[in-house]
Amino acid sequence: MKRIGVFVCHCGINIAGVIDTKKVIEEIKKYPGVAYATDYVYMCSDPGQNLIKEKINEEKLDAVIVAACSPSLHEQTFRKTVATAGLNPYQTESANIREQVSWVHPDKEVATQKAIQIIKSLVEKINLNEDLTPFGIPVTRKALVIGGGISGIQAALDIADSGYEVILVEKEPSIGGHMIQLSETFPTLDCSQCIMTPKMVELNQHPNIKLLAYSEVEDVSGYIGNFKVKVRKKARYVDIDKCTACDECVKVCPIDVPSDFDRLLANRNAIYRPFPQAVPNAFVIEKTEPAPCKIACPIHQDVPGYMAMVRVGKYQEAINLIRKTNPLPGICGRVCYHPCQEVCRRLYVDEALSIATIKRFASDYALRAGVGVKPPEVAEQREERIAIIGSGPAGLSAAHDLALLGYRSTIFEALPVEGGMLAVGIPDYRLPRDILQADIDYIKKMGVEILTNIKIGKDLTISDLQDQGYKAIFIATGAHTGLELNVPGKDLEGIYQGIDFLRQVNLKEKVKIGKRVGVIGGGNTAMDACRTALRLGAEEVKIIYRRSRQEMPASDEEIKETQEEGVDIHYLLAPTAFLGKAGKLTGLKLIKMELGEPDASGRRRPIPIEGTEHEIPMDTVILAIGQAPELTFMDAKSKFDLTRWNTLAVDDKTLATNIQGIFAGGDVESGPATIIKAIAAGKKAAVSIHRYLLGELEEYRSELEQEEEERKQREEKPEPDWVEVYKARARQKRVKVPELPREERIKSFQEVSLGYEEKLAQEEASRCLACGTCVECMECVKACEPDAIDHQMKDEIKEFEVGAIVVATGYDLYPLPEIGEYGYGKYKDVIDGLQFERLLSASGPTLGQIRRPSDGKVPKEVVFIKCVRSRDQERGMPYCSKVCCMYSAKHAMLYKHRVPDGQAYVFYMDIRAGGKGYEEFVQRATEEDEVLYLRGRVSKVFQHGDKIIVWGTDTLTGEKIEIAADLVVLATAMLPNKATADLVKKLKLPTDPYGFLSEAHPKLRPVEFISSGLYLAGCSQAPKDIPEAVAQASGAASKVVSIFSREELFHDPAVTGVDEDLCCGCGICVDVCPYRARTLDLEKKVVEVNLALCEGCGVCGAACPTGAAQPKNFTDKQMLEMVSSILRD
Amino acid sequence: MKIPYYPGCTMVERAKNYNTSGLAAAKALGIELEELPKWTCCGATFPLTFDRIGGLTSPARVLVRARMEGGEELVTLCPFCYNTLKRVNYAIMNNPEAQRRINTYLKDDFEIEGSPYENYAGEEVKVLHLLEVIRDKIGFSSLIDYLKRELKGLKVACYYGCMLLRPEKELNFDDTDNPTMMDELFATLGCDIIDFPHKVECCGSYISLNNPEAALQSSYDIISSAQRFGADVIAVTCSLCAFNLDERQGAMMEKFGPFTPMPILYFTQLLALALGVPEGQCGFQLHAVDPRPLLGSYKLISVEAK
Repeated sequence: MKRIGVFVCHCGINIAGVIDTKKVIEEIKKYPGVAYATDYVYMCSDPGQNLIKEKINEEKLDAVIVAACSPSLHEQTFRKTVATAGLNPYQTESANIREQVSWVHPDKEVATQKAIQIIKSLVEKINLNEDLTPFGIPVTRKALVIGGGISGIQAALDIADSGYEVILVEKEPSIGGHMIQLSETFPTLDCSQCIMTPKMVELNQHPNIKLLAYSEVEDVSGYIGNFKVKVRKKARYVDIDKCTACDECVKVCPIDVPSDFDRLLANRNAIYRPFPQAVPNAFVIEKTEPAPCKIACPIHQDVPGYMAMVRVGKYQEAINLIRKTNPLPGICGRVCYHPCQEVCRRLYVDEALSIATIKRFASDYALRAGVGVKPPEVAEQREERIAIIGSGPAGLSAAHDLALLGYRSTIFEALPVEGGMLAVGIPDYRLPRDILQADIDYIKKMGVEILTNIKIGKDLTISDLQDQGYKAIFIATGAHTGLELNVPGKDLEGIYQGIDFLRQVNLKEKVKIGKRVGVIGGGNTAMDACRTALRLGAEEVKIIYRRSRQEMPASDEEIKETQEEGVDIHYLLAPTAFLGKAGKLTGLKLIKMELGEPDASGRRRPIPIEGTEHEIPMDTVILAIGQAPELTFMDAKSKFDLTRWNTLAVDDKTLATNIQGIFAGGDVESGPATIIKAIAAGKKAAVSIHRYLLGELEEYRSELEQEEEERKQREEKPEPDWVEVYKARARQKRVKVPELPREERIKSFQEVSLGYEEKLAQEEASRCLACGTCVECMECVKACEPDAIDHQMKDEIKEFEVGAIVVATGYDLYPLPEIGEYGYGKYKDVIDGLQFERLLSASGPTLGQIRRPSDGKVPKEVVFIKCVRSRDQERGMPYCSKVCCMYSAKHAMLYKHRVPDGQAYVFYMDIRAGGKGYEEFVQRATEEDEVLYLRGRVSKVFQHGDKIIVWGTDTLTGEKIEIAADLVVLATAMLPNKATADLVKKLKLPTDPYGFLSEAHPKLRPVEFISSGLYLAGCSQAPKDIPEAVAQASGAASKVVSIFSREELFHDPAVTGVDEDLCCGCGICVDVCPYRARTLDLEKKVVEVNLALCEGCGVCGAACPTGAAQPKNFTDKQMLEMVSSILRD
Repeated sequence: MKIPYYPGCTMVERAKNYNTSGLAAAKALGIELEELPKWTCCGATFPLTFDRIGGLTSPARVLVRARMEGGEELVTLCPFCYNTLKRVNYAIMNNPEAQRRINTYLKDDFEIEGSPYENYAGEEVKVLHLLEVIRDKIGFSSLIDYLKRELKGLKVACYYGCMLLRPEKELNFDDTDNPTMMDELFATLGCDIIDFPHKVECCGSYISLNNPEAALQSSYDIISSAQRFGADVIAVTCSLCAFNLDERQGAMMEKFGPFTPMPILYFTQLLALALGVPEGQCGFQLHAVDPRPLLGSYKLISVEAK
């Protein structure tokens, strides 16, 4: 048994006022093992410590118990004391008789008894204490600083100046953080940029600092002195070393997006530098995910690209971009059903862009100006000739793309005109003949031959074509046969097939039409038939459709225009018989329908309602209930596989039919579909034919399969909430497309839609959100003299080993669009504090002149509102954002300096101006600059005319106040930077309920985390001003330096290892360990411990079912002895 | 679909036009609002007295009655009923003492009546306003399928008042500062939506009983604001708002000088009109400011010579 000394501290009257220390000594002396016991007034004082040292020697003590305060205060003190007396420092224990006894028990007797019990239990524990020695761990003397704002920069500089290497990672393209956005700083009013840029430059030039801008921390592992860090260096697409920042690229970049640096008050290009003094001073190209319009388009046209080109007036480039993928731009600009517009992200703001109409503008412009009408030169001409059957969109597109690949092709057209369904299925008022012809002529100029009036199957056969030496054939005959309606009376005179009717009219044949016309069907053919009938003199035109508006397949625009022209649409009605007299149609028998369950097409099946049959008079009926493929080319020699819908069966990837060398696409393969789908099929066939002729068809097939797989994976990625993303965007409705006046329309076949003229086209194109940001038009590459731009650049992952990490990720402001009472960010002249800083800044969007965002006028009445969502328990953040009182005073003061005849109002709850020179500064604002301070809250802000009306109260006078302001500036709450949340997960950092980082101790350890080796600085911890952020950064740096300056780091030996013989490999301790110190060795089926990561918390010891995890000096045996000693009394 | 409906006293007395138009509009949408049998007073306002629990018994009784009828939901039109019933649910759910006491009172009641009684925990019957039913069960965007008559061009200012919105945490109906539910509804009906700053300002509520002057000022501010922003008509959800805004316009003119009278309509009346409900069921004749000339000028009803 050890010889144990017990030293009882009075702590003045803190302990001795309640506990009878003499009695404690008397009692404890009797306890087995206690060799000596005494008391003293302050045991932690020098005489107290000397007493312990003396008695250790005199009494030959093996262990010491100090009965005093909490071990968290003086355990270290007494460990050092006993060590100087020659004992192992772990042969001392603190019995806490202050916090746990004298402070909480008023009854002296009870308190004294409890103190004795506590000391006794520790006697049992210390008896079993082992001698422990701290173990050393190596240190990598290199620091990682995350965040390049003022705190990150300061911390990096301080560490680097002490002679250690630093890696600074900043997610933005330049360092500078929010401070570089500010104009002047309170209370001295020195220019923020002027004091910030020297630090940025110093950092960039510092030999010990490696700057990784436009980079993000991907992963961190390891422990103090030995962290492993992975950093993603985002592709900048500009070589920092080559870029001379000459600005030539921005002059040609067509993309404008709101500048984050200017807080959306100004635009920047897709290639940009956030601000002129950026560090590193090089450009960057922003590329985001591909635009949805581009993905939705069956031929994947570069929509944002030509939107941008039209907006900036580069029409030649626009048509070049369009022509790159689209062989029929004039046609698509008019009659494409534009799937691109269905997915346009502008829908999340207001309305989709009128993409097709802009394409029409570019194409018409090119046609008028005679630009972009010459096909490109083809490098390599090939021998093989291709036959194409049908000159509709599929056939023309295949011919076009084949020509680009160097093949000559011949198109065989059965009709007397070129263009297939484009020429005979679409009326002139939607697609004028000259436009159609211009697109066809362009393709003919590429060397494509079109032979009309040759019907394959009648004039020639497919085998004839093969015999004539055509190496491949593409069948694109379309779907020209109208489906019949099998009801009584179908052979009466006056019943037409819609598709035949349109063809006859388009071919200028004579068509007889009655006065009362009924059109049966709900597709585009039905609409076209109605409108054509009206133009031919029908007086009353009705559409009869058996389902409801929702199921109608015609495009919304066509339905709208049809109705505008006076056509009645009757839904849920179906014909049961044609009525006639003397062989002529006189009317229709109809029955009402209702919708049942969805059928195979997903549309709800119409079911007749019994007893609702009725008749209506009619002299002409046009059937437009569907079309079947044109298959007359089939003969005994050329037997094609068909689908159950009687369309040609093809391989869905390559469009190859069952006969080698013959491909098919368009309506003949898909059934009646859209023009753009036919174009896509033609383009696909062209590539298939090319690869087939090269003997690579199978290879091509697997390439396509892989592409599809990748596409599927892309689609599975979750989308952000776009409404949220675009919340702050200004609403701007679609520019209306001019149209022929309604009364004019039905008088002729003149085109109804008039398209945009230049100004309107530019205005509409400017609504494009440029979803992918960079559109890869390559104009910057052409403009860049030092050849610094590389669009193929990829993200890089860099790995480092560091010894310490400083987190300084900063803040964001509470987003305006979430503040309802102040207008949800929808009023342009309600801005936040940082936006006002940009207005004040000499390098800001207004070059330091205070001009309001809506109309650029100098505001004469400006209202500043403080505590917006700060100190707001109900709807915002309960904390005070600390800097708003000061910066609002600064804003109001600077405003008065620049606009002396203006009036500034500040609504405040309290003025919190604690800080050196702060109160004086606020006084100056109110007294010298006559800023009107109103104590009260603002209840509502709204736009009226060009004023922003502010409703508030002055609680000092009790008055209601209404101010018609020109500009309102909100001092919104500070939130942790959005990037912090992500980093918190990667580094396992503790945070407060609002997401701010939590320091180890709010008073005594303000710059470090609980986990060793991790430090924090700046606003990522809590809202604070610049001086405080800088001080905290220097503090964090000095902590880092103190680690680096040691030879070796020592780790507390009171850790928990594992007894491999007892460990059952259950892994429970692995899951409960908060420091990731324990891992399961799957082969040995035991747990391994990285003692350097263990913080000695003991959770594993409590969780271990076998006793293999025994915290040093807190073993199960010790605990049980302690409990027994207490229970014994 | 059938949902139990709690009319409350105002619907069968002062706001008959709200009731009939609401029921007819719901019917046109295929929603059958079935009047709760033996319904009693909702308490009219949420009790703010010292004994906040005793006063909750009456509305709780309505909810228990609805549960007895097998309803998991209960629809209201009157925002006062909505407010009281929904907050009672909240109180019962979140305050164990309230739950215990109210259930003790009600148990006696129902057992005297001869009905078996089970503890009511405040979540068995969900209280819904008709606007929520339309939004969640039909969907505003699908209304277009039921539309018989577009209210094209009618400039509607939607006035929300307070009872549907506040307190936000307990009602969770719409944004308290900028509610948009009615605006969305009317936009699908083809109306031009007038966004005006007074959409949630106080109408004077029942201050109009003991301080009619103060209430008059409040309601006049709302009407003149809607007028300034170009509204033809103000749509409301509450009969007290309707009273303050509609019936008091004569008094406003006496006090503030003449202005063009502003028709005040329940949202259900306009909705019913758009859904093709016959004019007779909309109760347009029951207004102090006759809305018929306005509706006639938009060709929404047959113009009646006055």
